[in-house]
Amino acid sequence: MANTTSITVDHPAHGDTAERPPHLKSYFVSSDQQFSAAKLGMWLFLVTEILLFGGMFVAYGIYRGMYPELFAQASTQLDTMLGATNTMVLLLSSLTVAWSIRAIQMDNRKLALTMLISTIALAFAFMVVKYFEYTHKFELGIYPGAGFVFAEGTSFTLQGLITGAQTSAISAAEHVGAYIPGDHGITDQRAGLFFSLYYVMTGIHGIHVVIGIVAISVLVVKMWRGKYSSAWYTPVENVGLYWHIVDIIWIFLFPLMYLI
Amino acid sequence: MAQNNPHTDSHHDHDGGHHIVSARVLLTVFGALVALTILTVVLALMERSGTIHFGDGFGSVGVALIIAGVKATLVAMYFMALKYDSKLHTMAFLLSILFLVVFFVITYFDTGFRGQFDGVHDARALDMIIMEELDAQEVEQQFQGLDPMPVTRDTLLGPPPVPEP
Repeated sequence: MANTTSITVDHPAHGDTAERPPHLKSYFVSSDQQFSAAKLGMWLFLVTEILLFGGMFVAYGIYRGMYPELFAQASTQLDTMLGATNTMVLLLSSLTVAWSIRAIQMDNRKLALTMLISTIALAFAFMVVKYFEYTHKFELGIYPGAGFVFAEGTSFTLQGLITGAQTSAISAAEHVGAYIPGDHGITDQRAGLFFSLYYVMTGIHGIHVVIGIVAISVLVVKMWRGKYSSAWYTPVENVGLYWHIVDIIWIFLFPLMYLI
Repeated sequence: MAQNNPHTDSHHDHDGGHHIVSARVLLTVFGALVALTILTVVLALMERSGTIHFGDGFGSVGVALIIAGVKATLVAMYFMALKYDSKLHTMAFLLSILFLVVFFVITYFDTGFRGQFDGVHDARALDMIIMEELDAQEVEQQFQGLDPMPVTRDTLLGPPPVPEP
């Protein structure tokens, strides 16, 4: 907040030259003003990210409140240890990103680069674990999408879900091979509800991880070319914030999906 | 603060934008995050095996969510450096969470109580009852004086029950 009230202008105090640093846009008075404007913009974007995932978390909460046993039963299909491993991987990647920002703040470009590359490696590790989790479920016949559509003509009202849809949902699921009683220990006919939420939430989170990999790779290239220093590292800071939000979302996804 | 960025030196103590989080803080926070992750997994596995029981309903998910909340707070405060940052960013962050709570509560007011007001369908609003009464009176007036044998309770329902002695 200090920046908005007291503005420090780059260099004019010295009087002799009106020289401006190359990163400073013409429409900002100072580097500090530019930095705080960029950071506020990033935080507003993060707010929209929280609200994007928030809608899915609300859907999860409402449906879990309706069918607690279904969620408990379906959740046993997820591998707790793989989920915990991925949690650790993401936490470690958050540390490496934070460390990279710390390094570039101290003009240690080599360490900052190492930390960013470690973050990318950890993000890939996360996606590899995710890949094995998904393919294992596909082998069990637990698919996203079509396998979990309720039978055609079934009303999507609550009443329809509770009474009429039960039998038709079984037959529809059996028809596409998505639901076979006893095949993987799921006896609740509407287990697709849980797995739909699982696939959508972890899937969109996974897309965010991939976007993070791309963004951090761009950082690596630019840092390699020496674009960032303690005088200007705004992109590193903002991508770091994004990566931490991805981590925070997983912090909530993990217990809600794996630890029921 | 960096040597080649002298203009921030004058006010970096209260600026908040360029605070360098110390290595010790980062490592401590990471250690705490790992410990909390292990704790939440162990608690969940113990509950799944029946060793402990947090109670029905909100019990176990409540414990898991509190641990997750602490972890998220640690990440936001230290890794995202909100603790050293402009309060405006903290406010934006907290407001988004507040709106999530509003989102959830209002949605739950809708979905959480469905089927609990089924008796309402059999009830009629008071003005409907009054309207029907007025209509009945109107019809009754139309037939007054026309009917040689007026409809009474006795002709329709038979004689009234004899009160017991």
